Amino acid sequence: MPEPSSASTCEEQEVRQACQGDMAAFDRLVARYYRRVYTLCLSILEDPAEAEEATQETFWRAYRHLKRYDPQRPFRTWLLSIAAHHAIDRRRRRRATVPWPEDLPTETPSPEEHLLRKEAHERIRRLVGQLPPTERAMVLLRYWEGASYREIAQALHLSESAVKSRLFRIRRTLAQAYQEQLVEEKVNA
Amino acid sequence: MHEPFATWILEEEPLSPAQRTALKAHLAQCPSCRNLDMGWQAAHRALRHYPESSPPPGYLLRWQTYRERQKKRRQYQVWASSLLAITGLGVTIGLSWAFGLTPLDWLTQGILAGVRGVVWAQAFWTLLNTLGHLLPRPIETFLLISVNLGGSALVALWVWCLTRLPQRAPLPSSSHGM
Repeated sequence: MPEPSSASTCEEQEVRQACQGDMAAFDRLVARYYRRVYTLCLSILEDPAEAEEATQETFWRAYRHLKRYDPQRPFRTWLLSIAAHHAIDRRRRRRATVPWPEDLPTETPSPEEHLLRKEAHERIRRLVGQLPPTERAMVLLRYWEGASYREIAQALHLSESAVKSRLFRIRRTLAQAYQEQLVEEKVNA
Repeated sequence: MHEPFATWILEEEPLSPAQRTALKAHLAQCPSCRNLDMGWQAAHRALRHYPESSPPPGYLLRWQTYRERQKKRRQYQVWASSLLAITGLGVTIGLSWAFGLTPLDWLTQGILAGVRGVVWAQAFWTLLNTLGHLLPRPIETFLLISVNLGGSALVALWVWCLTRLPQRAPLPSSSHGM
């Protein structure tokens, strides 16, 4: 068994405190995960203002239902499951696309690195953005978050076999599209 | 695409040593499978480092404001529903008292209304059957099929309408681990 990292121990403690009604502990969890929740909501909703509303609602739902949280499961995955479900639900009720906001500023890379990174980000966002909302959530939960098939199935109210077969199709689509995009970019360059 | 190699490339289950060797040999000579493999590897890497976005500055403050507003809203909902329940109970007791009804009378009336509904449904069905027998065979069959289809369509429409209503999404259960 690997030793739990200090970050995960700290998180467990915060979750425990939040479950006991400690509001400040829950706010610390919000501070830790709001970017991740927001990113998932934004990838599904494609509208920054709506993604923020969905993020607020996700945390509010998590706060209200903290008693249902199973400590055996990663808190972050539970939170993102709520976010995915809520964002898909919102998305079903409206259809509008708004341009992506700027990336989260990270450490300052060289201009060339920055450009390459930006291109890579745009490429993967474009590819993920071409998928239907449920599949976007699936692919991000699986490969960005590392959720298991079972967790994805629970989050999106699908059967495990449906998740498996849809993810297989998504992998094929993404592999082909990614390769095509790279070739296209080389030709344009 | 070349099977089973394309499937093996995209498969998440670990391959056996024999499968791995066969795939490696195939990739060395098949450009289309090699492209698929490279495409998936690159897409997988990019997905793992999917860029994080951030809401406009001041999110945490907005979250706290939102949380307080939601708390107040919830308190108001609890108060409003309690008030409604108490008022409803008061009106019921008042009416019972005014008409000299006991709780048992309310229960009896409820059961009677249910029974009446079942009797009406049965009567309608009997009427339909009798009418059907009076008609020539093809028309009877047609009538029965039409009524059944109509009823099913109404039920389906009702279910569809219910699912289209804006709902609060249920939370995913958290009974399983990774």
